[in-house]
Amino acid sequence: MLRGIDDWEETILEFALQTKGFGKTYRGGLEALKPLDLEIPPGTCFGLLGPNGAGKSTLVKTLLSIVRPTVGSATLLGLDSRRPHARRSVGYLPEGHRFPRYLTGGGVCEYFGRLGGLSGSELKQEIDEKLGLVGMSEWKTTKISKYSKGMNQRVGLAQAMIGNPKLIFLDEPTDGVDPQGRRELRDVIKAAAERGTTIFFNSHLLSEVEVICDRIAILNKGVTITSGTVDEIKRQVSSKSEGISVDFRCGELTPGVKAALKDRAATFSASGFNLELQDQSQIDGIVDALRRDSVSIFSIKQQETNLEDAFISLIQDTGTGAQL
Amino acid sequence: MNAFLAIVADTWRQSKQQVVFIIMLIMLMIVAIGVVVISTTMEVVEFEGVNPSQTHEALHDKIAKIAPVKDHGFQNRRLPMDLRDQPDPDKADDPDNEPGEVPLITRQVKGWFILESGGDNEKVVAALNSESSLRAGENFEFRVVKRYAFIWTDGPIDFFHEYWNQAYLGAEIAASGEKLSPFDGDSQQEMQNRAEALDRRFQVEKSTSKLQRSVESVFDWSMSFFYTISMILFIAACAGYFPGLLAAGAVDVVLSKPISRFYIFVGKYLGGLLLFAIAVLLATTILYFGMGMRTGIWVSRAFTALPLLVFSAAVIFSLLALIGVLTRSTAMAMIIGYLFYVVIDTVLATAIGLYRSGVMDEVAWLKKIVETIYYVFPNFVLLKNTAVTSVMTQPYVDWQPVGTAAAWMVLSLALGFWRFRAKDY
Repeated sequence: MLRGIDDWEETILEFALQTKGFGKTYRGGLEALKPLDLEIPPGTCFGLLGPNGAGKSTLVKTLLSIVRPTVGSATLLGLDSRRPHARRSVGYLPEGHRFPRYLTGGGVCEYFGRLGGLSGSELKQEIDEKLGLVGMSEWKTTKISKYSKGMNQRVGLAQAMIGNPKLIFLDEPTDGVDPQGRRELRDVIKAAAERGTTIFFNSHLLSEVEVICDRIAILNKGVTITSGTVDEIKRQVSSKSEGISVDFRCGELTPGVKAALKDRAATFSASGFNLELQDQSQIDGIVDALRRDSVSIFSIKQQETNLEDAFISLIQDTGTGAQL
Repeated sequence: MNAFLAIVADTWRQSKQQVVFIIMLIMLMIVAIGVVVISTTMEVVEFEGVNPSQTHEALHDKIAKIAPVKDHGFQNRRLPMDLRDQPDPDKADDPDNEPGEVPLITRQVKGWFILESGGDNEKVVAALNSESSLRAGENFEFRVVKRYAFIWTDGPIDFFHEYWNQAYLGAEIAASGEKLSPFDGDSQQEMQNRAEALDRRFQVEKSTSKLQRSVESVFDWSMSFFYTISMILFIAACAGYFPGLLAAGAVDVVLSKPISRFYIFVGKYLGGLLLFAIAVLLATTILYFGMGMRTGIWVSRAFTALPLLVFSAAVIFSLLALIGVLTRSTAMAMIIGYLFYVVIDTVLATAIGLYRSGVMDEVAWLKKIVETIYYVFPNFVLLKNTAVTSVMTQPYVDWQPVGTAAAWMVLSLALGFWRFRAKDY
C-alpha cells in the first residue's frame, strides 16, 4: 500500500521493494522487461542474475525512474517509485558510470550527497566515513580523471552509501576491481547488509552473488525464471538432474579396475577419478570393487551443484545460452 | 532546495573546467579595466554666443592675450556643409556657398579651448567674461567645463557625445517608424540636421552635458562589446552544460536522487545563466565604479542593460538546452548555436535594417517577408541595440524583439523540459 512520505520511516515495512506487473516496453515494441512481480523484505541482500540483455539494468533503472515504466507499479520503501521522495533513502551505483571528470572523489560524494538532501557537517562527516570505508580517504582530493577503474568503483560505492540509505542498488559494483579490492568491497557491502540495509545486487560474478546474497532471482529475456534463496535454487537444479557426480580420491588403480571404470565413462585425474552415478547405492558397489583389488580409498565426495551450474542449467532450460 | 543548489553549484564547477568560460571572464575584465584606464576628463573653457564682427582666429588671438591657450584647443562646431572644400554646384544662390569658408562670423557659435595655465580656471573665465575688448557688440559667455578624453589625447573627444546624439536619434526614428536611408543624401542631411537640433536642445535644456553624453556613449560601446563577446563565448561554454549532465553513465545517479527532473532541468539552466549574469555584472560594476571615479559621471543606467543582456543569453541558452537534450551532443548544440547567432541572426538583422531604410518599399513581397521575420524570429542584433541604448539617459526600448525572443525562450524551454521529462536514460 502506498503511504505518505512523512510516516514511512516510523512504519515497519513489509517490503523494502515491491513490484506488481512492473514492466517496460520501449517505443518500437521492444519488451525489455516483461510484467514482473517482485517482493524483497527489508534487510535482504538480494541478487539479480541473468545473461547480458536479460533486463537486469533496465529493471534497476526503471525502479529508480531513470527509465519510465510502461506497465504496473512499484514501491521503494513503501512509496510509489515514480515519486522523487521514494528515492529519499536510496543509494545507487550504476554499471559503467562516468562521474564528472572535473570532480574529485570527495566532490563526487559531496555532489551526490547534496542531491540526496544532505548538507553541512553531517555531509562532511559522511563523506569522510564512506571514503574511509572503501579505502579512498587518501584520494579524496584527487580528481576522478586520474582514478583507475577500481578507484572509480570504490568512490561509486562510497557515494551510493552516503547518508546510510535503507535501500542500495549496486549494479556490477566490483567490475574492474582487483581480487583483493573485490574482497574488501564485498566486506563493505556485507557489513551494510548486516546493519539492516536492503541491498539489490546485480552482478555477473556468480561466486560473488553466492557469497553476499541471501536471496536471488534469475532474469532472462525480461522474465524472472526463478527466485529464492541460493540453496533453494541449487536444490531446484539438483532435483532436476538424473544422477549424482562423485569424486574418488584413491591409490594406484589396477589395470582391471581402470578398464572397468573406463567402461563406466569415468574421468581420471592424478588423485583419482570422477563418476556420474544413478544413486547412492551405486557408490557401495564401486567401493566394494576397489577394495577387492586392494585399491586404497582416501576420500569419496559427492559434487554439489554450485550457483554457476544452477544458473547455466536454468538459462539453458529457457532456451537461451548464457553469456557470462 | 539543497539539491537544487547542488545542481547550480555543479554547473559552476563544470564551467571552471571550460577554458572558454575563463576566456570570457578574462576578456570582459580586460575590456572593463581597459576602458577605465584609457578614459579621463579634461577641464576646458567653453564659450557660447553670437559673434557678428570677428573671425574666430581674431577672437582666438584676443583670448590668447588674456589667457594662455593651446593652439589646437580652438574648436568650432560646424555644420557638415561648412566642411566642404568646394562650392556646391546645386546651391549657387546660397550666399554661404563659398569654397573653404567657415561661416563663423555671422552665426551663433559654440566652441572650446584648453587653457594652458593649469591653475584657477574659474578666475581666467571671470577675466575673459569681464574683458571689454571681447565684448564689443557681442554676446559671449565663457565657462569652465569638463569634457571627455583619452589619456593620450591633448583635447577632448567630441566624437562621443555626437555619437550619443546619433544613437539617440536613430532609436527615436526607429520608434517613430520613419524611414531614413543611410544611402540617400537627403536622408543623411536630415539626420545631421536633427542631430544638430538635438544638440542645441541639450545645450538649452542643459539636461545632459556633453561629458555625461560622452561617458554614456563609452558605456554604450563597452556594453555593446560586452554583449558581443559574452554571447559568442557563452554559446561555446553553455553548449556543453546539458550534454554533460545527460552523458551516458553520468545522468543515472543524478536521476536516482530524490529530486524531480523539473528541478534538475531548471537548476542546470539557471546555473549556467547565473554564471553568465555574474560575469557581466562583475564587468559592468568594474566599469561603473572605474568610470565614475575617473570622470565623475556615475552612469547607473549601465546596469539597466544587464537584464536584456542576460535575457539574450537566456534565449540562446534555452535553444542550446533544447538541442542538448535532444541530441546530447555538445558539438551539435554549439554548431546550431553559432549558426543561429552568427549567421541567421546577422542576415535577418541586415534584412530588417534594409527594410527600415526604405530600400525595400518597392518590392511588396520582400517587405512582407521581412515584416514576418521581424515578428516571428528572435533577433539578437535588435536585442543588443535595445540593451545598449538603455544605458543612455533617454533610452529607447524596442519591445518587439524582446517579445518575440521571450516567446522563443518559453517554447524552447517547454520543449526541452518535455523531452527531458519523458526520455529514458
